[in-house]
Amino acid sequence: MSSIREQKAHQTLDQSSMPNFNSSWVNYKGAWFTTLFIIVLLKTLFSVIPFISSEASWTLTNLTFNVGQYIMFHWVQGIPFENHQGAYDGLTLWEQIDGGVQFTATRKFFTAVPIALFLLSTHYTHYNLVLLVINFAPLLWVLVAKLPVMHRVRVFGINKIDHVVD
Amino acid sequence: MATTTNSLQVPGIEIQPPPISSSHHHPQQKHQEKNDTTSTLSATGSSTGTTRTTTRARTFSLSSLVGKTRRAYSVSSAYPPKMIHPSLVPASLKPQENTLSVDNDVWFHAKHVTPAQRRNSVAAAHRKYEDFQQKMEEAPMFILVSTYLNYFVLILFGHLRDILGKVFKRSEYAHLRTNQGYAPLVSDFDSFYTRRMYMRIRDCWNRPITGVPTRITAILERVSDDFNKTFRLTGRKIDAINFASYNYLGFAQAEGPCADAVEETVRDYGVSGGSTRAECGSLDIHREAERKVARFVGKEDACIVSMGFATNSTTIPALVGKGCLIISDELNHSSIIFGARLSGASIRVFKHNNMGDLRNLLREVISQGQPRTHRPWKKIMIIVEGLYSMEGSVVNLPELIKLKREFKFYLYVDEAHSIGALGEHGGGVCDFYGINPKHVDILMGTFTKSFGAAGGYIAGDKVVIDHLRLKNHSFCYAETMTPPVTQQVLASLGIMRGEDGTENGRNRIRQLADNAHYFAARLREMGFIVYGDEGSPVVPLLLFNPAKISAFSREMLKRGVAICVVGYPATPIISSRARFCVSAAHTREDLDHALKLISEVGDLLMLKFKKAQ
Repeated sequence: MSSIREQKAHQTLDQSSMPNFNSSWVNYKGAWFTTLFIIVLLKTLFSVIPFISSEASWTLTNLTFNVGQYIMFHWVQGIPFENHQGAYDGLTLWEQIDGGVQFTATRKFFTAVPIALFLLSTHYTHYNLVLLVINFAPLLWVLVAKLPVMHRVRVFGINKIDHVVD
Repeated sequence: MATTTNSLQVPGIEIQPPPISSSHHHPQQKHQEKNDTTSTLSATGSSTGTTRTTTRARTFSLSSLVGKTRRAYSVSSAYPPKMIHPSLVPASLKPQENTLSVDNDVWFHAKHVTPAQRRNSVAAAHRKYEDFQQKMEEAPMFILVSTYLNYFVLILFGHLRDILGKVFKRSEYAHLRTNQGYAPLVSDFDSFYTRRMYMRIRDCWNRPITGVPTRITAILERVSDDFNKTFRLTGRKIDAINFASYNYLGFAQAEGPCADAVEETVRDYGVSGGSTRAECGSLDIHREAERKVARFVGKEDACIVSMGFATNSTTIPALVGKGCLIISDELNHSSIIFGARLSGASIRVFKHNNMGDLRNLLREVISQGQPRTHRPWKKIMIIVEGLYSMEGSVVNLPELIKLKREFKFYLYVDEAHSIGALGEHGGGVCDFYGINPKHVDILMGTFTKSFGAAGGYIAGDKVVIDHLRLKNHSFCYAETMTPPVTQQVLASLGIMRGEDGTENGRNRIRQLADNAHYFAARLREMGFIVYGDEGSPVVPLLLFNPAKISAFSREMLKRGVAICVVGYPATPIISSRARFCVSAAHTREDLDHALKLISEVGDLLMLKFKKAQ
């Protein structure tokens, strides 16, 4: 590939030629419901531990969900099978959703869910300052990762996209 | 049998007998008669008095199959609409005004139809695809949630095992880690699916078989001692009813007229053409096959390529290039995508078989033009398939042709699965709808499925095919189709068209249509969610859960039925399916037996999701 522009054009070609089954599941029926269901499951799991307080279980739910969501949507790059000849190399799942188009319904939903969870957990921790900070930090982390301005941006070289050299 | 040969010439230009007098009877009239004799003439005459004025029932009922043995399998012939091709209507009979304003040269009305028939045929001309279409059903929410959780658990455990394995079992994971300064041989994330999910259930695919895979296939049994890393043949053969081969018309036979002809050809021509088509590999047998295929499909000329996948991947680059636009259906085969990417044209994708989405896309791309420069496109080509093998859905061709007239793009239809399998004479998707093939620019097909041979063809106008003969990559570089395979194509094509003088071809086509309708209807009746339009010989049964993919395959093998199961990434993540390819070689007893076993396994695995009607 002679220029960066041609490289990008070829990647778009490969991306637009067939649907990306790795990221299209977020739009299917049942995906959103399953996300909420997983939160409910997590909360149940943490509440079952003996002698745990309601504040701790809510905080743990919030933390686990945000960490898990970050790893799944914003850390892992590429697709787990060799179908697209490297069209999605270096793109996280969040960047692959809907072909990179911002402000779609799915993205709004997945931005709203950690916010709602944060609000619930602050309510159940009775707005204690320490717990608030512990709850707020992962939320901030995840929300910054979802910002449109962060599309394909890697900070401090963390999780860098390697450019394919032909 | 001059009449049958005559009627098999070009499927789209078929003369339907006028109601009163006819010396040419058409067996696919909707009658109660069993036999194919001239007694239908009088029946034809008398039936006009009692012509159906009621519209056809929407839901498919089994009694309609059981009662009438001579049921029409293509809706276009279910209404005797008395459609006559414009070029064949005598000038005296041409009507002055057309009742049909939009498609007046696609279908043509004869003057001597009753008002009821004209209403019926106008209605028939307007509601084409919706008659066969079966909407894809959604599963209940419980199933979908359990499917997502199933995948979630699988992925979680897969990653966990990878992480722990790289720490504790360093030697086994050496190819995935940096090793003494060398980069990993295989990226562990790219191969995640293959190692962690496909490997566990690998015994459901690539099963070794022996003998000819006709209606029964002999599978060699194998076991694995190390979790599917290696297999060991036990020596036992399992005879299974074969729903996994694309043997639509049953031409996968080791005996019979095709095999005899092929043997002779090996003696005459040898086993290889010896060169490429462009150099000195063109034999007279190739030209004959091309001419016959072109006539069969209804186009001026055709060219034959020795490999089915390569037919698409070498032709599309010869037709379009940079500055052109390819619009392809979402679920097109990878050969089309390969060819499209190779060509350098821009590619856009529209939702599967969704003509509304296609219309919006066309408006957008035509108004925007080429990317960045916004110049008009040099060429816009829409590539669709006649029959999609994963969904069993037939392309909505009438709507597509309406769009073609409006937006003026080129149309390329890949009839890999539909040629031979759809249509009253096996002429493919144009024959199925009763549309003149001149409306499709390029008709592509393969010989692998219905003809029992290998390779593919491209049919179109002579000008286009002459250009392709020079520019097609396979004509320049690839070997020719071998003479035995070409002879198999010729022989099976001859049988399909009735040139050998028997009803063999007719019977095969009819049997396939009956089988396809019956099988899909029975499965739906049992409560399975089945995709696929009415009349499609590919019947996908939805499994949803990844665990059920392997369970279904193994249970069916235990009971002696060979099927194909497909999962992610060939299908969307939630809709994994088992795919049954019905064949003309299957008898009704085979199907009943298989259906009984499928019902058993369906109860065992809880697959009958359909909401009670």
